[in-house]
Amino acid sequence: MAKEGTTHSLSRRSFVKGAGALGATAALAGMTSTEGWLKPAQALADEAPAETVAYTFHNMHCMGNCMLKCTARDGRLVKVEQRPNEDKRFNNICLKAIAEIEHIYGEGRIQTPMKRVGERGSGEFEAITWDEAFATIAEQFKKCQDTYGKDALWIQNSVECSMRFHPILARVLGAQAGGMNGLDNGQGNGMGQAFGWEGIFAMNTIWDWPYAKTIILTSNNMLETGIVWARGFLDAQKAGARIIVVDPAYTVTAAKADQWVPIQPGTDPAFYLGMIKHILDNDLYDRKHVLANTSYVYLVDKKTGEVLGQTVETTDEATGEKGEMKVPFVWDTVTKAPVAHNAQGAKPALEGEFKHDGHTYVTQFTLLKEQMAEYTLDWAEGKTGIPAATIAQVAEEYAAGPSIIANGVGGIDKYYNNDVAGHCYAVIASLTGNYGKRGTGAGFFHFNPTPYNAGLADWPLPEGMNPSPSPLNFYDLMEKDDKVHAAMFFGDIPTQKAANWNKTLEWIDKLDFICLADIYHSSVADYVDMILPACSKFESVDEIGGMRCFNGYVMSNQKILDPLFEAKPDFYIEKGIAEAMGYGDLFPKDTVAYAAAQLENPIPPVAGITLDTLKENMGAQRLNADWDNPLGPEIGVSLLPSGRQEPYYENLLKHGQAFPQWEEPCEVGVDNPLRKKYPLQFNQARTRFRVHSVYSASKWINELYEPHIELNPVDADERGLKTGDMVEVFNDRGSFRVKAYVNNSVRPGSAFMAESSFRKYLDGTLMQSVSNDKMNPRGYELPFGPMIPFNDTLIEVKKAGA
Amino acid sequence: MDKTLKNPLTIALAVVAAIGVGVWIYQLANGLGITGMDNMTSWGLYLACFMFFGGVASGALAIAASIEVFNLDAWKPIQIPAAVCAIVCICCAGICVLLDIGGIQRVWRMIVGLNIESPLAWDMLVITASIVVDALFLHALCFKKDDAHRAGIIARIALPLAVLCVAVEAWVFGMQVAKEAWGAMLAPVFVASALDSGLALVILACLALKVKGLEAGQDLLGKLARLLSVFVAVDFFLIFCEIATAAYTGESLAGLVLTGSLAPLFWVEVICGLVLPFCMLAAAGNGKNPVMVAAASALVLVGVLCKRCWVLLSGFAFANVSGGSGVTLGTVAAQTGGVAQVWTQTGSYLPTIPEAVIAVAVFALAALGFIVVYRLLAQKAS
Amino acid sequence: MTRLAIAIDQHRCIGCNTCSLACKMQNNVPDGMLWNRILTEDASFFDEAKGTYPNLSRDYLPLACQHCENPACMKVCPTGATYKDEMGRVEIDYEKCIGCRMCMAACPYNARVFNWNAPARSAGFGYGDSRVPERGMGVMEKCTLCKERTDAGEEPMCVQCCPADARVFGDLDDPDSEISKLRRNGNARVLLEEMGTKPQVFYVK
Repeated sequence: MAKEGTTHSLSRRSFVKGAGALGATAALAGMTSTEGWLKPAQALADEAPAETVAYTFHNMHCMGNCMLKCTARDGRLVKVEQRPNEDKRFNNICLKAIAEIEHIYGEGRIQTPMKRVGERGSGEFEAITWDEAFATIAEQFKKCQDTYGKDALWIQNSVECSMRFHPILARVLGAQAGGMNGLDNGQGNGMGQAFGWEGIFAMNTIWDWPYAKTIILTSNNMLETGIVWARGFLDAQKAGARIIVVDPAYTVTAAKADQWVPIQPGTDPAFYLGMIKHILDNDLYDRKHVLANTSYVYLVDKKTGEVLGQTVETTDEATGEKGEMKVPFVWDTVTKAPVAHNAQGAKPALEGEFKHDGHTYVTQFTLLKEQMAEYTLDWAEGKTGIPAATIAQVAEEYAAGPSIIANGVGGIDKYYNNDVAGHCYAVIASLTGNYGKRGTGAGFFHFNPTPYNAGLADWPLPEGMNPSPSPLNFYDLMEKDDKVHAAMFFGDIPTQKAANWNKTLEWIDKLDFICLADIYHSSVADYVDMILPACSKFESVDEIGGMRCFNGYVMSNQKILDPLFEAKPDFYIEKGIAEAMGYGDLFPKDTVAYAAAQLENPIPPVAGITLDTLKENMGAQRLNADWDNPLGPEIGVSLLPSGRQEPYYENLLKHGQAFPQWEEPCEVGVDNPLRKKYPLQFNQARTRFRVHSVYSASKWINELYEPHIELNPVDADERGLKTGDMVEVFNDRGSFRVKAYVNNSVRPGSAFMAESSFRKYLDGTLMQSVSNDKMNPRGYELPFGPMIPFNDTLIEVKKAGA
Repeated sequence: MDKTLKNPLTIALAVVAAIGVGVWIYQLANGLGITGMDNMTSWGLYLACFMFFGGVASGALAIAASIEVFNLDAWKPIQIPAAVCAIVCICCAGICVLLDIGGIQRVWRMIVGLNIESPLAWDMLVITASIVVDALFLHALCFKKDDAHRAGIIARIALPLAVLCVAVEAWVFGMQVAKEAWGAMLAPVFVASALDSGLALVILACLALKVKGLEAGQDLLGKLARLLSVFVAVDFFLIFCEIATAAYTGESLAGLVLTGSLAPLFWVEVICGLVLPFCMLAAAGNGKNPVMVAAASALVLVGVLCKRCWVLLSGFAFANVSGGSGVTLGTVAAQTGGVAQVWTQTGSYLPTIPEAVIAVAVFALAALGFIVVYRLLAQKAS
Repeated sequence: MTRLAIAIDQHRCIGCNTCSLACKMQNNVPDGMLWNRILTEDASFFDEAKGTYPNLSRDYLPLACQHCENPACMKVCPTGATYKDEMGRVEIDYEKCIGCRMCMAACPYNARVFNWNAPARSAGFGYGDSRVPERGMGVMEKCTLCKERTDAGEEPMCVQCCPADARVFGDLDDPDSEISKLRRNGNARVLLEEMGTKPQVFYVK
């Protein structure tokens, strides 16, 4: 009966302690004994088992953070439900939380600290004690930092195996803690600047959607990736909003939408450029809004593209710091001269070319018209495969407004030219007045769907105790690193935050020491020197294991179970290492102390929330906010100093992207000669059955889903493949093996695979072996850095072994 | 005990039957999961055998009773063997049902809480009644030869009971609204199968017993052969009607049986179980060739068994509410496996070795039972 | 009278399978089988799209016991183990089930699952509601409409957990209930109406 664990693990049962173990044995015996045989039904209640109820919250990395009510019986997790909540929006659960009933005890669980005894990748490990693990890590870290400097140590935490306390270890050791993600912020890079917001998570919420007439979901499969916010989508539809999904694949969301726009992969910018052109050509823009609230009236030097303006000194009201700011000029039709855009009584020209001081200026609007000239509907149809009439129809509906562009962070976000797409959203939203008002907006909506949020206090550390700066981001290390000699990861960072696995492996091979703390035996585990078992969200040493503010709530991880097997919460793993290195006293005594510290000297939204009140309120409390107004105030057209929307990015002039310009994806472009060799575009995205690779080892989920690559019948037939065949997926970077499914939902010329599965479930191979790691240099100048172009990848597929 | 009970055949049959009992105990301990059945194909070889034995028993009983009812004195030599076949086979039919029960330890619920609406309840009742009537009939035939009246009365009960028995067996399947493949047609098809398989077994049994009057060239053998060929023709006609109708109206059954997964069973039945024996019986020329008649009878039995199997499995071929990924199988493989092991959209079934062993043991038990009962009766009667 | 039932809005069903696992958890359903499953209609595997790209459709059909008014399974059960209770639910008395699987052959919806073997749970223990009776080898089981929960006035677990509000639970005999209103709206349909089983579970789009 005992399931086969990881290759090296001790028997799972040997770790099941006390009554649980006895109970399990008894149950097993009961199945074969006559007693069990004779009694077909027996109420569990007869045994009157002790049940305890406690509250926690679930995954951060799917951004659900669902608040959960958990029941344990005889020390076992037996039930996971939504935490009761009158506000149904936050009364959420999905299949993944329920699957934890089995998952946390399941075959993927790392049970004990282990050190590698075989070759990297062999999966041969030997169990060690925590003491030995901490001592070894301390010795290795010390040696690394003493020899090569503090910043030669890299400690990066992912939220996946975290109880959500802000990590301390990297700060205490002055290690590098990783730079930018290279994920999820591609469109945001191109969008936020126009409105003066970060560009990622929409400023308004999904509950605004019913006020919209048209909602474009672009690269957005929220009905799978944001299951618990599905009500936002469905209720908007019920209220009359028309939802249009732009996606190459017939996703769950596309199927539920009112219209699906099946686009050629990587050509989203062309679709939106075509829309812009159509909006301009047909005067579909909101003239009043454009004149009053946007930078389209600013004057730009025709030769250099520089915005004409006057530099003024500024003083920061809070700090008193001095700074500089350019006040842009417009052409005043009254005085026939350039004036500051906010000059009293000025009537700015929208279009035109003006001579002044020996320079020729045009308005941004005129420049936009010129620059968009080539992006006709026919051109866009040629690029995207979407009929011109459809592009026009979507443009017209969108322009009529109120409209929303809700992007996801898969799809185009994982292409080389992703910022151009985001930039396009900013241009069409600012042209049509579809930003800042009720029922409008742009960004990522199926996340933190409340206008209310607050920071919690951090654990105080001595002055100056910070991680070393990370001049390189994780994805840069493979090409450029000459500094890092030892690394520790909490969660499988190496396969999530870098493409091209074989390059990542080369980097891992270079290190003197690499250690992984994780809950499950993820793909990278077989390649590290030491593995440490971390706790799931349901386990804790102390009464409160973690805390976070999200979804407008302060939420705590109450203890539901003692740590399973030999696992420790990430906090205690960090602390154990710190103690072995002599820094233990810098850490809180326990996680309750850390949680209490987070609520000390609270900012007003958190005022009055204490550990006691949290306990009284089933582990979570709403922030002090105007909850009677779930939508929050209208966000306003712009947060920029000018008060205007500024979709013209002067800082990108040297890249030719001050206004968005078409740029081919770097690999999957239709004219790329590499397509002859590798004709299929490889699209990877999340599905409902995974959060990244987590749940790969969930038996309950594996009964519903198995890893597979999907091909259109046209492509499958060409290759003689049918559903169920094992295939090899390959390109020059590497290859992996997986089952093929033939599905019409995939666009011909594409292949789709859910990201991702542990290598054990892919015949020992890694999916990221084929993915594109070429970073767009322009990205380094954007707020969130370049994005890993996972989907900008060409592959070929053949029958495995053929 | 008689010498015949100690001959190698009897011992071999007893050993096989004993092995079957052992495997059945293994099944009781481990559950029906040791068979090839699953949540999609929830009945298999045991119930196919139930149909088979039930049919044979009713056919044999009908023959034995008819000889009495219609005063077919010329046929008298085969009457007792036929009645023995009937009682042994009806018992085996009952055994097959019990083999298929997942909770045999609760089967007493059928007595204390019988739901009279259930065709399985009717089945239990008619099987029990058959056993009783068979026993009384045999008793009358063997021990009350003087009281011709008595056998005649029992035969008049037995004959309709035999028909009812077949009908009820058919209704166990045919009254399942969920199963398109098992329609009202099932009852006549079952009657035809019962008649040809029942007669075939009786012929085989009588030839094996070297019953007087069945020697080569004897009139009775010729009559039996002719009657069997008529029954085979009727069976063929009914099957033809059913499949032709299904094919014409585009029912999935036709494709399944003619070219699909059940085609091997169907074509073996049609060719080996109907066409070939019909020709052989014709060639046997009025029973001049007992070996040919015996071979034809055996083929008829094989054919009917195949038919039982395909008729049964045709009901489980598809789910009425279909869609991906289908039905969860609930098998051992499903318990430990992933998507590919958990789900199915089409029924697929192959008996496992333990299951086949148990089924073979029932046949051995039937043969053994026939030998024992016949010899005991012969001994006692003489 | 009471006729408890579930209405399922197929447009709102996003195929997430939360209900499948919620049911599995609540009712301690063993590995390898589900009481409540989600089908992709006209598909050979889950999530397969129907049609030819880009003219496609995909509909999910959550499927469990339909709690028929005229349950085929109940009629054929030889021991009365399957019965229709006073709340209008089709239930199984596991003590009476002899494992003959007449009901399984009778159910047009393949709603029933059988314990062919000793139930296996890779979690290593029995989970879910302690009020739910255990079922052993050789016993039939299926959706009970969360008998233990609905007896206590709670919603079935699949209804409580559905993140898309695709499920409505209620009493069809209460004309003012939300479910009765949905039932009256013209686009409600039951599965396999021609079988005459009169399902109480129904679907809207």
